[in-house]
Amino acid sequence: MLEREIAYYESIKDDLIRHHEGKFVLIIGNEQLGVFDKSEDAYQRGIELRGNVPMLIKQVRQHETIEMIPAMVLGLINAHV
Amino acid sequence: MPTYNRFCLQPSPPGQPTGVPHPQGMAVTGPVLEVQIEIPSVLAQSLQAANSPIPNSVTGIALIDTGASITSIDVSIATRLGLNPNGIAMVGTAGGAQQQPTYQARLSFPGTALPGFEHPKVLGCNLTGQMVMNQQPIIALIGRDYLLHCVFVYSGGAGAWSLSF
Repeated sequence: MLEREIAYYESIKDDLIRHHEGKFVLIIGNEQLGVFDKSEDAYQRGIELRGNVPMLIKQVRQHETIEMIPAMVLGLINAHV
Repeated sequence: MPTYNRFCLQPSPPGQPTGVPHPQGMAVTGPVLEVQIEIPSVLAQSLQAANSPIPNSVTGIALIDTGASITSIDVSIATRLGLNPNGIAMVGTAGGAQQQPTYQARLSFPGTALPGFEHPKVLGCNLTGQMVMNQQPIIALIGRDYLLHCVFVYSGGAGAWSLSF
């Protein structure tokens, strides 16, 4: 899943952090297709340029955010005793 | 400010609504409401311009999950809508953080005054087998990324909750 795009992001991450920290970068394949203020703008540009294809829109950050969904992860959404 | 109030009432014989609150029922089902998931408007416009068919929206049940940092949809819905991932999210699990796909999608709440919204990043996750209220499938978890725009009141003893946007 998006392995190529993630590898490319990692290869340019330092440069992105220096110049665009906090912005959203759009990557499809091995190509950086722009840097945007909002994720929605990046998505729109990706659709305009390449259509409905997998794309990596990533907020440029030094440290990754970990999302937490404990009820789902632990299988407790519908748990009853 | 649009407000949606939901009351969980005691079951009654057919045709005879009791109007009696049912706190235990709400404790079992949780704060749930109907949700409609569609492709993003920008993708719909692109498909329309190319004379391609626009996938039908999918309707099901959403659970408001205050424990979730991000809104998520069942990944099979993304597949049915023909959505491609627009990124990945790192999700904390007991075995460490795992990568899961994210999608841009449009969510709305039929039958309520709550505004629909275009969500730039919903998480694709496996909600298979999660059923509530007469075996209706849960297809979305509404997380704190949505709730940060709302006032959410859960009144357990009254068997009621409300969401103001």
